[in-house]
Amino acid sequence: MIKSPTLDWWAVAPELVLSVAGIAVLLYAIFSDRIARNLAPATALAACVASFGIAFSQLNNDPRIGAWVGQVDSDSLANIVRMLAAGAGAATVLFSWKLRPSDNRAAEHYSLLLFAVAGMGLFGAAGSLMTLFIGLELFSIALYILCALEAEKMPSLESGLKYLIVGGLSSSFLLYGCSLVYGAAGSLTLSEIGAADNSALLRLGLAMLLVAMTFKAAAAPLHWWAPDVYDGAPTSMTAFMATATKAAALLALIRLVAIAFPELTNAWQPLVAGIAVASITVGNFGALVQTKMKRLLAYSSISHAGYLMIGVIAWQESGIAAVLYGLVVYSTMTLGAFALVIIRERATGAAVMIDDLRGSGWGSFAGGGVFGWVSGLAMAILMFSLAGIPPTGGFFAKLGLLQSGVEAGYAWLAVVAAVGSVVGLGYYLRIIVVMYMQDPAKAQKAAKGAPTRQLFLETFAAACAIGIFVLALDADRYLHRGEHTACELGVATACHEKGAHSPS
Amino acid sequence: MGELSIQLLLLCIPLIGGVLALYLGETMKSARAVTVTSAGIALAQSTVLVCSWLIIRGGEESSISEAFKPLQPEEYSLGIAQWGIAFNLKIDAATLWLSALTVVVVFCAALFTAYAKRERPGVFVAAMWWSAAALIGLFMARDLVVFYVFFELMLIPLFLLVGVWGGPERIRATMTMFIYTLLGSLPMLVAVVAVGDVGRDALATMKSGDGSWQPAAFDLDFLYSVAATDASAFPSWILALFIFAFAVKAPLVPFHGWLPLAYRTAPAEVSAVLSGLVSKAAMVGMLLVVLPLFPHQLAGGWGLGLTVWALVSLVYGAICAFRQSDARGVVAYSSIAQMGLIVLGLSVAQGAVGLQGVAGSYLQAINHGLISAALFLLVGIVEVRTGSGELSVLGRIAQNRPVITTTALFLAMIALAVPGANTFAGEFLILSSVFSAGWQFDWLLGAVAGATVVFAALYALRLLSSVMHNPDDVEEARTGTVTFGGDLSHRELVFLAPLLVAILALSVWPNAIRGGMERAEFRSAATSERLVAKGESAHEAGSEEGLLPKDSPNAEDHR
Repeated sequence: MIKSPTLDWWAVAPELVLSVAGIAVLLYAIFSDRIARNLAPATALAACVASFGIAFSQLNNDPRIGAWVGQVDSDSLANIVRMLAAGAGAATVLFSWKLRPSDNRAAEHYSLLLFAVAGMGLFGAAGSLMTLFIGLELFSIALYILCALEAEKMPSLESGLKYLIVGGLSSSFLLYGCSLVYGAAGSLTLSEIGAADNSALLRLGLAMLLVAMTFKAAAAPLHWWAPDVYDGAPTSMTAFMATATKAAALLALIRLVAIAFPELTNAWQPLVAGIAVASITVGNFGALVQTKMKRLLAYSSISHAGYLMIGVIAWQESGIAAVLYGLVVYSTMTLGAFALVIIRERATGAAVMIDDLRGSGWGSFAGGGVFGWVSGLAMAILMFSLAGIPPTGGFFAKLGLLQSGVEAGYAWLAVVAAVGSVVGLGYYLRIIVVMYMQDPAKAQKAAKGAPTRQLFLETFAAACAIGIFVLALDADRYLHRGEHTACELGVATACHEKGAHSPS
Repeated sequence: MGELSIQLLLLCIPLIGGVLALYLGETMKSARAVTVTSAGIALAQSTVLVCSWLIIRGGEESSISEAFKPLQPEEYSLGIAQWGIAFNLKIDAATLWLSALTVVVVFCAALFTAYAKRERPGVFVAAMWWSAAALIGLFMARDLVVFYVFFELMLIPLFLLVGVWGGPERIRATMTMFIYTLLGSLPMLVAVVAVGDVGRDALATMKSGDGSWQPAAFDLDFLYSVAATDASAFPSWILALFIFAFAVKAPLVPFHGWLPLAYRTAPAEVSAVLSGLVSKAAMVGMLLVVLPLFPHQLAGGWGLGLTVWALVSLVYGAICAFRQSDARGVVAYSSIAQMGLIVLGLSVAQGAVGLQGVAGSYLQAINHGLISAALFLLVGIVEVRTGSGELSVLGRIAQNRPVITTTALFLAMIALAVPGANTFAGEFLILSSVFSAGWQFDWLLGAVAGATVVFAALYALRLLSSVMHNPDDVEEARTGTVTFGGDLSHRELVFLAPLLVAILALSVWPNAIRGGMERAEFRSAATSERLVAKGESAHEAGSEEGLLPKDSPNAEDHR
């Protein structure tokens, strides 16, 4: 008797909402460009918020493992990926609000963005290597086009092309890894791979998969595409890539090694440790010599990938919890920083060079006024947070990662991260130095046809700056969730009983 | 939370007052608004300090005998429970006097800001009060992570103060200072984490006994009990990282590279805060962390090494101070020497031996805070009036100006520790404890340390004579280059007076802060065998659920 599989629609509801909305947005363009321009952003925002909400509600329910014939695992980790991606997606919608008044690509823009978010959700919820690959391709292809969407600008085209080629390479690594693993384990389902015998083929497959994830997370030594792509892409897309893609890749990596390769921990840990050290070094030293704000943030994201990897290496409850908390904090500060970059870009009508920020902290950051002052302050706070100076969330995120590293016996890695942070001060503080301690630059170029009111973005950036402190005060909530996630994945060595030392 | 209220008040008054100063100073664009706000903050802060002094005094006996008790989970509401961090602040006599010092120095510095007519006085003074808040938080911290947070936090306002309002080389100075200190303190973060890891392990073994009571892993009082149970609980590499961080902050000699540049470039009142207060963070760190957590290492070699290091720093600083060509340079290097002396007093205390060195260091920290602040402000006055601090162009200020002459002479006498001065009391305690440290060549170390008092006289008198007087034979070369104007005005005396009065009071009666000195001694000996044996400490080695002696009358209260 052939049993028809039960399809658990709820398990993929976040992706369904996004996909349906993505198709709807695309259909708007058929009717009229005007409708598309006016309605697409709102639809996209609503879809992201809905997806976030569904993922959040699933987070508090029992996990749905092995839905869709083992293709989708809608557990805590998956829903956290979905929430991070949807949150970053919503922020990106805000960033690009009314950005394209002139051209007629609004529908494509928002539709692709929604598909990218959906792809990331699927990527994070993958129960088998097949879903993993489909998710990866879904968001990658969307991102290639999004990077190149400002087709009249050469850097944007260049960025899209570079990303396409490099991304194609990483996809091929992923596919090759999948085929090797399939050859060794005889299955594509992660849990079945986990039960397979350890073999050289399996290890080789894992290494290939690791390469693909490193690419997507923009961690050294496979980071070299990131500064160019981040620089050329529209800034809102850069913000999305720097946060959502990185989060999805890191968390998918955690799922992969936790469920499919639980026996091989000793094999991948040294590799990832090497990646972490390389990322921290390359990211921090590379950022020191940058003159463009976006490139600086690109290198900063590379170094943060390195810090976050420490938590992955540390494994255990504390490591996973630290990575999750770190990702939330990192996304908040990075989105805030990019919001400020966009504000500045629109105010001056040009790419943000660090030297052009001279003296802008005292009110002229975004054309003057109280909001200019607030924006400058927000930038300073976010830079301190990225640098990991207390009492910001950036500090506590780093503290958690170092803590998990030391706990797992990787004290040397913690020292490397600490020294890397000192180097990091060199460029994060330079922003503050330039903004507050140098004399203002000559009269700034007037913006060409840029929207005057950016209350939207300024409020968003200020909210991120405040959110950094809120995250610091509220760390327990995220850590608790992280430990819960670790238990679900079977990572924790000893899952404590309920209420053993939970905060009342 | 009720326990925390006074501490939170001490923390919030300068924070909120700073915001007020910023708002008033920027909207009214007047220095007077800033002055009035600062006076208000200082007044409120002093009131709270007096109140807490009365409380501590009232319960002095009990607060000493109940010793160190870690907080219970229900006693703190802030913090990160998952990591064992509790927002744990306690105020005792040792904290109190350091906080009072902070309030006095920052208040005087804020008045100087108004006097020197800085740009954006609101932001300037706000930043100073915020650094004061961070410092007071640091002094009160009884949780290692909270300590670390304040340790770095106080740098942010100072980073801005030096970088925005400093002299021509301000950006280099502020970046050097910030990165240098963080080069020390970020590895310390690893050490903090490692200490917490040891604490967590200790908690894990403790929990098997009785899980009903569980302090936070980073609670210092709890960590003391771990160190008391097992003297070598914390490995030496952690100690090395801590000492490195404090050596950069203090600074001790090879790591003092940031100091001369920062002290010279910063506005004079910021230099006063830097040398008077910020350097004390290193002392407090030694007192809170190094001495009680690593008794084993300090007794075996590390203590002697630290003593020699501090001595080298002391001698080097004193010699360099004598060679400087500008007034600020002299005060800056004398600060290095004084910090060497303070660390010297701490480093000879191993366990219960040489505790009077700790008392001396504590007294000397207060003294040095007052004196170096006063000296920097005085130098600041000279700079504001003449536009230069170079010794080669200064001179003959004493002529017909009795008030400034008396002030300068008074400060110089105190700085070189004439008998009767408060510094004499501090140095005496430190030197005598070096002589009785119990090492083979302790008399030699003591003799070298004693000789530097002579160096202090050399640089203090040289500074005095080249600014105030001038030998006649070189007079022609110097006169006419700068003009000083009249004697010290009332306005200038207003911000010098609190410091001078405090110095005078401490000289007459150094015992006033005896409570603080005793508390500092007590804290540094938290894990010493003497206290454990007497059952005074909060723990008893081998006690099953640790931490609280069963026969202690206080034990019942903590359940």
